[in-house]
Amino acid sequence: MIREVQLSAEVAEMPRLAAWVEAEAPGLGLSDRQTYAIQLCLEEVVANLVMHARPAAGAGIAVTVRIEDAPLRVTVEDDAEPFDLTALAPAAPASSLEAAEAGGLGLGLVTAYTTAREYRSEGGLNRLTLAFD
Amino acid sequence: MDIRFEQLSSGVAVIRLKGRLDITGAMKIDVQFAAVAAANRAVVVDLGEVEFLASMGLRTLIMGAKSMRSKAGRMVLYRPIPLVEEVLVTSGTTTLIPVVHDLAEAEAQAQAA
Repeated sequence: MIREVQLSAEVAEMPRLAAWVEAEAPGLGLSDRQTYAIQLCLEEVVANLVMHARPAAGAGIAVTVRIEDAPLRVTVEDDAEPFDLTALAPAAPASSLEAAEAGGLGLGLVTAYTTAREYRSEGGLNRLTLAFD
Repeated sequence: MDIRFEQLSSGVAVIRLKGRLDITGAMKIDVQFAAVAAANRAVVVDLGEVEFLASMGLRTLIMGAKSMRSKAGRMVLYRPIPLVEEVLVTSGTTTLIPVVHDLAEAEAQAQAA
């Protein structure tokens, strides 16, 4: 079973994305934990596109999100300039509040909540595939 | 995302959050949350009705606790649901801000010297 939704990389689209996952979860047979893990990873990956990605063409960034079951995989496809999140090292956890900095936690969460991550960029499309238990 | 405040008789300020502390939720409460954190020495953040927490929400909590610490104040996180607590643990946030499930204990930790 495959479910798919299209959105543009804008903050205003984030609630719609979360609601879409919630609505598709029963049909895909997702547990509460799986639904949470997928929403969490999509929030981090798509928010990253919203805040940091540069459009390759003039008019914004188009994003396609796909969820498929058995095995559980989530794909995020975008047409922005290529940027491989999986090549970054997650920020090391701060040792104290005094040393804590804003940001950097999202990538670590994606790594912790997925079993594998693969990034490919070809033909003007970037595709991040996340695998879940 | 809703944010409400209450001052307990002990003097501890309680910030009650409700809803999804995701990017849009965090953007909505950031300014008010930071203001209450800055104005109080002891803050308990009631997460009991927060159904979702992601990194932008963690940022709100950590930056608030950090600004309190710089003025010798303390923040304590109170009664997160299990899925939210898992994010707090996985991200290392529980090593920076204590998480407790008992209100009396939360008040005591927030007021600890």
